[in-house]
Amino acid sequence: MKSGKKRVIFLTSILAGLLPVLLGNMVLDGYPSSADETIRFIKENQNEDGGWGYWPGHESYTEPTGLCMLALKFAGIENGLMKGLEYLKRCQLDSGAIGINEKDKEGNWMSYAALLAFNALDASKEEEHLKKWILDFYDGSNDVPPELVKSTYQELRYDMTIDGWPWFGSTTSWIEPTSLFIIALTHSGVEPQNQRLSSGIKLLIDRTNKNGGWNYGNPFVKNTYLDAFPLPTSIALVAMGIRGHTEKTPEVKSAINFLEQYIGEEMSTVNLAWSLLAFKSYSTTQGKAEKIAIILKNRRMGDGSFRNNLFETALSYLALSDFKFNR
Amino acid sequence: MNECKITRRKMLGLLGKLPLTTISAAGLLSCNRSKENKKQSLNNKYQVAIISCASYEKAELMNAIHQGWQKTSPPEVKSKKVVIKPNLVEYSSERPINTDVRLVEALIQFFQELGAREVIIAEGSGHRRDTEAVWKKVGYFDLINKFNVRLIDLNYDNLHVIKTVSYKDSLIKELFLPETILSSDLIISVPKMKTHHWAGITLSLKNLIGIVPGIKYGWPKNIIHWNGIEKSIIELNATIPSHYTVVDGIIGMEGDGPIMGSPKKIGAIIMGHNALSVDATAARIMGIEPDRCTYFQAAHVNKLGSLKAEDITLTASRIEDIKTDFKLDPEFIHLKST
Repeated sequence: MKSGKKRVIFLTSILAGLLPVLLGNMVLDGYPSSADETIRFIKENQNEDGGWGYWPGHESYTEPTGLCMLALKFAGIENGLMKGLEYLKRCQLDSGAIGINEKDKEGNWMSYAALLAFNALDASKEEEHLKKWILDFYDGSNDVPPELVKSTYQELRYDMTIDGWPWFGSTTSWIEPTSLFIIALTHSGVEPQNQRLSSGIKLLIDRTNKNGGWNYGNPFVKNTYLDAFPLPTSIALVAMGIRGHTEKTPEVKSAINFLEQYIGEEMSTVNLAWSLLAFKSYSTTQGKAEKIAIILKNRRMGDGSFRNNLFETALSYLALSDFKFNR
Repeated sequence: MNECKITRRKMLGLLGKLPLTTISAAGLLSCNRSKENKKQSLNNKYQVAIISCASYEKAELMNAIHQGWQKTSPPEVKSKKVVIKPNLVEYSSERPINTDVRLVEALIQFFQELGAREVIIAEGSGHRRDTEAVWKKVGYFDLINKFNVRLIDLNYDNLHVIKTVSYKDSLIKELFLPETILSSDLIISVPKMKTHHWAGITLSLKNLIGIVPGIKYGWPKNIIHWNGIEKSIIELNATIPSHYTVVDGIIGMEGDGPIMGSPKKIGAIIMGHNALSVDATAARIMGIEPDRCTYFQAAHVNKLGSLKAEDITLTASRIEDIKTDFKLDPEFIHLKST
């Protein structure tokens, strides 16, 4: 009897361990049926043109389209992906750049999401073309005179000669687009020693707020230290982690400390998703990641969506799954 | 936002000297808008009401709004799609950064009572992509169910490309602008009375920067800074003028505004149909000489209204009764009236 019982326990545990493998990525941590609903929500709200808007029925944009495609691909769903890919291909300009949607004739920050989607769907020609454009997408600071570099450092306390990425062409580099491009380029396989990636990390470190974390990119204005914000801090932490930084990097450690105080029911959905991705990236924050995952799961609505927002739904799905950005 | 500085300084010398090129801002823009503008300029007088309002208590707010509205040749609201554009930037429990939600609540009720077809609250916050976090904290989400209104994040709206009314050397010859704004019948600008470390002062004219969508231009909306803040303010207001302004001057912000300054009690709302005239009046209440504010001057030169006291008919309270000198950023001390 005793050895029989042991055998049953042994077989059960083997089966339990195998189940996620048998079911593939659809098995999330304890809520497979919810994840099905989430994926169904994404599928059902693809626009006729093949893209996705931020909200159901709204016009398609590159960012929600890229993230929804990434989520579907990760969930093993092929239906609708080719239509999505065709949409992004139509958005791609001759230069390789991609703007906010088909109407946009200038590349901008949203191309990070298209790069992730091209990579996921093995659209290597479009991926390489876009990657080349992103690596050549600079802010406007190269044309400014030395006296402005100096006065900027005095008034804003950052070094504008460090290259990052702007949201929009020929403007300033900021924390979020720089982080998003670091994440997407690294995921897409740009070599670790690439100078633009190193410079992007240097910019993040240079723009760290006094008490840890990041805001949009001005840690100081005139005579005042500004507050950091949770969302840019979460995204920048993902970027730092993907580039191999650990809690030993002082800026990472202080950012984690800053972000920890905001984790809770008041944190927004998109921020929960990014902070979950961030905390899953570091060894000392795994426990906090579990806490965030519980709060985020509870935000899932009856239709499977997160806040009825397609971008946030796709991002939350990925954050709650075992999806990881390539390092 | 360093670059805005050099552009701004460069632009200071240019503003007021360059004529606006006459590019049409047609497209989805309502024809009603030009009719309203004609109505505003009748008799070359702009009516501005300074209404004492000591608190954000509902009855007091409603009474103040009723009074001010009646005295200022207001636009017709019945059956109109009304967009209320507050100023929502960031959240702080200590600093009055945003238009107080109680004022917006009173305005929703007021416009619904006047028979508006729809009332929409719309804003595109300038610094934070994370609108959910800020709007929830400042109580704006509660308005949705309480008044059955839509709350639109202009940063994520459907967009349309519009040719702008712009300076000859402008970086902004066309703009992606939100459908909610372009399809509205009335835009009601509801700014907070604040000082501003880059522009000196921020009221209704500057409040329109919030209609520039973040998904196209980023957070902050950096194209505005590279183009020059003052220049961009003029171009935006020339392209999409608001129809009416209600300044939240009950508690404003002085010193290191628009975010890090200190609360300043004034106890008034300032209302009128011409944004420049309302702004000029609010500036006088703050102890600022409107003539010295570069973008006010440029707005005046380009006929977006008038900043001159003789062109403005004041009703209700007098400026002297309510004037409260604001502490300014040291760079803008020259704006102070003597």
